[in-house]
Amino acid sequence: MTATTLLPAARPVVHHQDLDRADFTLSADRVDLWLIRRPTGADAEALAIEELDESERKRTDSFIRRTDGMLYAAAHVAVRRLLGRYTATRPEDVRFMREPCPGCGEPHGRPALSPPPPPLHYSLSHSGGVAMIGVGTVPLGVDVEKLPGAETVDICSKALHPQEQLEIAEAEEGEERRQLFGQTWTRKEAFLKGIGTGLSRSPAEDYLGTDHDRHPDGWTMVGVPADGQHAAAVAVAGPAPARVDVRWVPDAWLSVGHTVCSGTAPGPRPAALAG
Amino acid sequence: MNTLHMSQTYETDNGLVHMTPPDMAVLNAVGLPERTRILEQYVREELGRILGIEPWMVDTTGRPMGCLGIGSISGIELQYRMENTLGVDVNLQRLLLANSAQELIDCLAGQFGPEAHLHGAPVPA
Repeated sequence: MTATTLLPAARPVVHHQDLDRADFTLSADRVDLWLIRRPTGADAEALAIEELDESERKRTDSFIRRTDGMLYAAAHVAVRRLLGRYTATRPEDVRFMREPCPGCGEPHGRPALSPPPPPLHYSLSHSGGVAMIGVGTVPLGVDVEKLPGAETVDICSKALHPQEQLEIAEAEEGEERRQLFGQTWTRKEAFLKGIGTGLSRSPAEDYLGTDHDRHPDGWTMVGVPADGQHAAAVAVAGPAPARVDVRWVPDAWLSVGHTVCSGTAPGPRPAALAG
Repeated sequence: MNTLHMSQTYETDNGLVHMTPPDMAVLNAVGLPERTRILEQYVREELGRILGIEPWMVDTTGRPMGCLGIGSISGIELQYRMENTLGVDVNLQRLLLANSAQELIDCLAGQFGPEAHLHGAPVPA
C-alpha cells in the first residue's frame, strides 16, 4: 500500500523590498502589483491628465473631494502608462472594455484591455489616497482599502461569511480587529473582482478568512504590504504564481514629460510597512 | 438581524451634527412629495456622517455615489444603516452604481406609503 502525503498548497512569495528594476514582461509564474500614492503639490500639478480620455477627465472633475479626484486621475494615468509599457502602446491609445458578467452575460464584468491582448489581465482599486494595479497572465482581482473605524468594522463585519464574522469578533478590539477586518475584506473584494461579479455576489457567500486552505477552489488570495493605514490583497486565478512583486510607482512616472521606464521603483516607505 | 448601537451624532470640521431618523408612521402616512423630502434629509444625514460633512453639503443630484466618496466598505455601512433604520431591503449593487443619491432617495420613497402597500411592495418593519 502506498501512503499519500498531502502537502499544503504552495503559497506565492511576496517581494516588496530591494526589487530589481521592473522589466515589464509577463510571466505565468509572477504577478506584478503597482501601488500609487495620491500626488500632492507639484506632483499633482504635473500629473499627465491630458492622457486620460474624455470620460475619465469628466469623472476626475466629478468627485466632491478634490483629493479623491486626484487619486482617481493618478490611478488612471498609471493604468494607461503601465499597461502601455507592458503592451508597447502609447498611454493615450490604450483602450478598455468590460468582459461579460458571469451572472447575466451583459458587458459589465471584469475590466480588460480592448482588443484583448492575451495573455495580459489587469485589475485596479483605489481608496483613501492609495491605488493599486495588478498585472498578470491570468484573471486576477486587486483591492486596497483604507482601514475603517471601529463602528464601521462592527457594522460591515455583519455582511461577511459567518466564519469570517467569528474570526473578526475574536480579534482583540481596536487595531488588531481593524487590521483583520481590512485583510479579510480586501481578500474578499479582490476575489469578487477576480471572478467578475463584484459585489453583485453577496460578501457572505464565500469564505475568505484566515484559513487559506478553506478559500474557494481555483483561486489564490495573497495579502499585500501597503502602508500602515491601508489593507490590500490580490486574488489570482488558477495555480498559485511563484511570486508576487509589489512596487510603489514613483510620482515622476505619472508626470508630463516622463514615462514609467525612466527610473527604478522604490519599495514602500520603511516606517509604514504593513504585515 | 442583530442590531448594533449606532450613534445619532457625528463630527465634522464645523462641529457636531445631530441626526433625526425618520418616523416610520409618518413615512407610511404622508404622500410621495413629503416622503421624498423626509427621506432626502435622512439620506443627506447618513451620507454626511460617512463622508464627514454637513448634510446640506451633500450633492444629491449631480454626482454618482462613487464620486461622492462612497466605496465598497462605506456602501455596505450605508446599506446596513438604512436597512436598520428604515426596515427595508437596500440592494448594495444598485446603491453603489446609482448615478446620484436622488436615485436612492426615489427608490426608498417608493417603498413607503399607501401606494407601496397597494402594489405589493414589502411593508417596512
